[in-house]
Amino acid sequence: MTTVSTIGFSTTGTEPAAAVLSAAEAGAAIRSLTQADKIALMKIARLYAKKTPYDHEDLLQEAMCRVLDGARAWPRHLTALRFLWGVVRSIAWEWKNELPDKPSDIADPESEERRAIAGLDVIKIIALFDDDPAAQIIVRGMMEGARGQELQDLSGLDKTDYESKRTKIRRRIEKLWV
Amino acid sequence: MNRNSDPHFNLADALSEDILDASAEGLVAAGAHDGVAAAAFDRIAARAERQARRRRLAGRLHSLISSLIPPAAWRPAMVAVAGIAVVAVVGDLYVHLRPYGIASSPQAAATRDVVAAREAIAQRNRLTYSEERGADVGNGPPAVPASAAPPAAAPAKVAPVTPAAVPAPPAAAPARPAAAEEPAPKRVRTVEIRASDSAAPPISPGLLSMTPAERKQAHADYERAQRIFSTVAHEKAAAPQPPPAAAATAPKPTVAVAAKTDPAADSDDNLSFVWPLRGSLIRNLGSSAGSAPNPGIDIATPAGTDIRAAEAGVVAYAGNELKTYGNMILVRHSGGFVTAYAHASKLMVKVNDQVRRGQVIAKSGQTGSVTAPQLHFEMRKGATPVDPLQYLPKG
Repeated sequence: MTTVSTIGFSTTGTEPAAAVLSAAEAGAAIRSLTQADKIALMKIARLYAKKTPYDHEDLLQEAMCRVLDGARAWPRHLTALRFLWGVVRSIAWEWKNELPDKPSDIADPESEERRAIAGLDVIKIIALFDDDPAAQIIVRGMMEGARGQELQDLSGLDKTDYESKRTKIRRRIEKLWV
Repeated sequence: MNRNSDPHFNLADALSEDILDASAEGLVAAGAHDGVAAAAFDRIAARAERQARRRRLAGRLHSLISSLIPPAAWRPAMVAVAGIAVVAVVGDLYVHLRPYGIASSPQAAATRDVVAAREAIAQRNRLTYSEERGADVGNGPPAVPASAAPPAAAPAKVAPVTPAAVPAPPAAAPARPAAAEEPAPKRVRTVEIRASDSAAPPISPGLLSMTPAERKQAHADYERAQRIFSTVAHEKAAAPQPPPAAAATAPKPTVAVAAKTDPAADSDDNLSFVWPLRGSLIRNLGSSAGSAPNPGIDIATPAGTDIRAAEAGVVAYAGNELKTYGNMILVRHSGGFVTAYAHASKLMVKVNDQVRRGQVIAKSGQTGSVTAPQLHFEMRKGATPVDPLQYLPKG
């Protein structure tokens, strides 16, 4: 199983017993999520499920199931939202690998098709901002892994305009993917 | 900064950060706008909780079993269990698919019961007929004691009693020595054979697949059919081939006497049955329609096809009183044969009509308890069903 974290914490591994939540505590923490937290997690799951053969409900259910059955240790210092985001992301990466990226010796028309669709998706997302060159630059930067100030510098916008562009980008892409 | 090789994941990471940074009010408003409901999250969480519980239980069970049975013992145990399962399934299939012969099969046992009940009813009717006939003829002892007659031969032995009451022509006399000993003509009447009052199962297609109401109807129809067949067979003994003119003008006993003057009347040699119509044979005699044996053959045919008399004879019954059979005709032939034609859409003859071999007597249909146009064709010798395929031309 591949576990990838780009957000500064690990969702697997052996944590000291006192440093992680028990299954009962994890269940209580999930049940006490606010409405905004729940909507945020649903939206995040939708973003990552796009790259897996399953839908966002399956992804979110699997993430919560792994937390509740103890397969994923929940460090006490992480908020529920941050931790569940990490779990969702990790599972999506795991499931994404069920769609082979690399060409194999055996011809597989289905995987070829999936790769072609993935390529088209990138082109489609960039083409979505043909009418807004600044937003298009930000999207390209996001796809290449740029974040924060680096991204703002790439766009050449001040903070207010940059924040506004990011909101616009998020809404357009959510609309495309949902 | 963490960079990932997948542009989609990078984009999703960036957008997720934006979602986490968004205000709660903004998220709720956006959720309502996009159709993302917190209730859906609760539903997913509930499913996840159940799934996690099952996984924990399975994990505990697995560890328990692992601690009890060493992993090396698993393979032979699984092979043994698989072997037992295969034997059980194959044995079950064998028992249930084999129609007769295994006592433990409820279906086969039920079929055997039906056959046995049918035989019992047929035999009882023959005996009852013999006894009643002896009592009816009545002024003297019966020519053939009913108890002495073997069940299968009862109608054949009883049949000569009536003609014997009539002065036979010289040609017929040697063939019937017993007839000469009869003192005087006797009154002949149709004897209603009482069907058994016992709970013998009715013989009709699809017996075991019927509803209780349909089964009751089929039972009643079967009882009546038995009475009709027995009555017709009895009449045969008294009056096998009434000429049309005589049948119209003379009472039955007279007709019976006249008919019996034909020396070949009881011979099978002069009979040459023909197919009542062309069609596909869908069920043979004794074949299972549902679970009960078929007393005749069923021939699929388009509705409205001509149904022809299989042999010359006299129409003994034409009606629709038996709901299971629909419109039905019984034709009485020489030699003690009776043919039945059921499920007709239209009857074109009436009782006592003389019919020729091949004469159109009805149109095919799907009256009675059938779901497609077909002809149910039965042949009986006396009251006993015989296989029509033994008498009809091949091909």
